[in-house]
Amino acid sequence: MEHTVKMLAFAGARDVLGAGEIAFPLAAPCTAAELLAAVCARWPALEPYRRSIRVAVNGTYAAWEDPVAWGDEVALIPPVAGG
Amino acid sequence: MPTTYTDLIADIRKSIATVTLEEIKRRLDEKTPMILVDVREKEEFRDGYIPGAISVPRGFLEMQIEGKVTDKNAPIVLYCAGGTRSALAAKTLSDLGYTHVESANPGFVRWKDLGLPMEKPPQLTEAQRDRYSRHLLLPEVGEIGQAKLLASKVLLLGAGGLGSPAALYLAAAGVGTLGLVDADTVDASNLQRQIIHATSRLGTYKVDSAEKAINDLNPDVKVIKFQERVDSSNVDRIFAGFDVIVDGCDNFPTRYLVNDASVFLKKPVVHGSIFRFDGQVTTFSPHTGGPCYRCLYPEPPPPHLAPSCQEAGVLGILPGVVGVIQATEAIKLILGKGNPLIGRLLTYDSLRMKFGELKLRRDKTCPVCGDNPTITSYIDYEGFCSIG
Ligand SMILES: [Zn+2]
Repeated sequence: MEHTVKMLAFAGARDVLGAGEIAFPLAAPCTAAELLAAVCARWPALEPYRRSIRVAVNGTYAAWEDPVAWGDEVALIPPVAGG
Repeated sequence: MPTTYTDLIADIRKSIATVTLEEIKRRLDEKTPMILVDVREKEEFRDGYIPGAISVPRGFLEMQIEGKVTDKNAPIVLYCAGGTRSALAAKTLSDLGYTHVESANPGFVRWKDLGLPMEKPPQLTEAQRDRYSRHLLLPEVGEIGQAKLLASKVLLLGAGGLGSPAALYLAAAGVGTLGLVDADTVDASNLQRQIIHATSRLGTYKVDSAEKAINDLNPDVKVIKFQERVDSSNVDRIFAGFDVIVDGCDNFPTRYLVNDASVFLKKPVVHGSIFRFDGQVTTFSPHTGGPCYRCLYPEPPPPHLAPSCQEAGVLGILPGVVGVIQATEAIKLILGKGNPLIGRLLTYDSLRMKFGELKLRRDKTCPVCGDNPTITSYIDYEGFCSIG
């Protein structure tokens, strides 16, 4: 297994990342909060969304302390309000 | 071998179990589990039936029974008007492998003469039976479901991108009362996606324009117009009397307000939101156990990162897809059929043409629906959403 997670990005997060799906390298297994911190460090434009964005791990909205492991599918979901 | 009709019936009567009307009444009173099946024609059923009975006309029995009674060992009681058709039906069901079948003897005519309790399905007019005929063919809707739709009241927040397609389909489906909340007027830039409006109605209030389209589509629908912006001071008044809220508003302060109101007032909210090419749909019903919007998104994004469709642009068809899914959810909630999107967020990416589903969890520490809520009345939503 490569030391990455499959990262899906929605809406504004996808615009910042420039892709809807990327392999994001992960030095070591971590928590959802740590993953988001690492993503925001890699893409500083995401930093202002950090407090509102939610992370889902393997198809379920994660609590911040939930674990993220290599090979997991992680989704970044910012709230959107348009109607 | 029977040679005449009389012989055939006599033979069948010998091979099936029968049950008296008094016994059926006793079981009803004692709530003994049984599936009562009325095998008369639809027109006969419409004039009244034994309480709790389902209607499967004998001509459709073989085709429909396995869809309606999946357990072949379930206790089934069949009845017709006098006991003959139900006897034939009982024979058919035992041939199909049902093991616990009884036929009432005699039948509904006697039941009615004895003054035993009966129910009548809600009466649709001839015109309604025509208009909703494709619904009536569906066992999941039928006359009872259609009557539920006609008696239901759905509130649409916003007569815009999401509200337009939702309102049109809900009206077409015969939702009897549609509330429309929108303070805006129809602008030319709306018509790329807000399909309930029309070029001929540019400049008119959206609630008036939408009412016209709805009236043209289906005169069964009563439209209640709220030509105002929903806020803390009017939300209780606007929500009162509605069964389901379809949230198609276009800003974060209203999203949070609608959520808190739905928790306080215990009303389900079918949530749809869109951004450029992406949509999200879910059904919030915290009073029946699901998460609320704050469980999902405790904090709004800072205002400069929360652009509206007006600022960010939107693919015109996107709200069509999302709004129609919201309407589907509303219809299912009213009918009580299928699996609603409670605890599930449906994501839609129109560019990649992918639907996804994410499981949502209720947050026990949620400030409004959690175990120890800190938000117990309306707050300053503009202020809450302007921090960032
Ligand atoms: Zn909540």
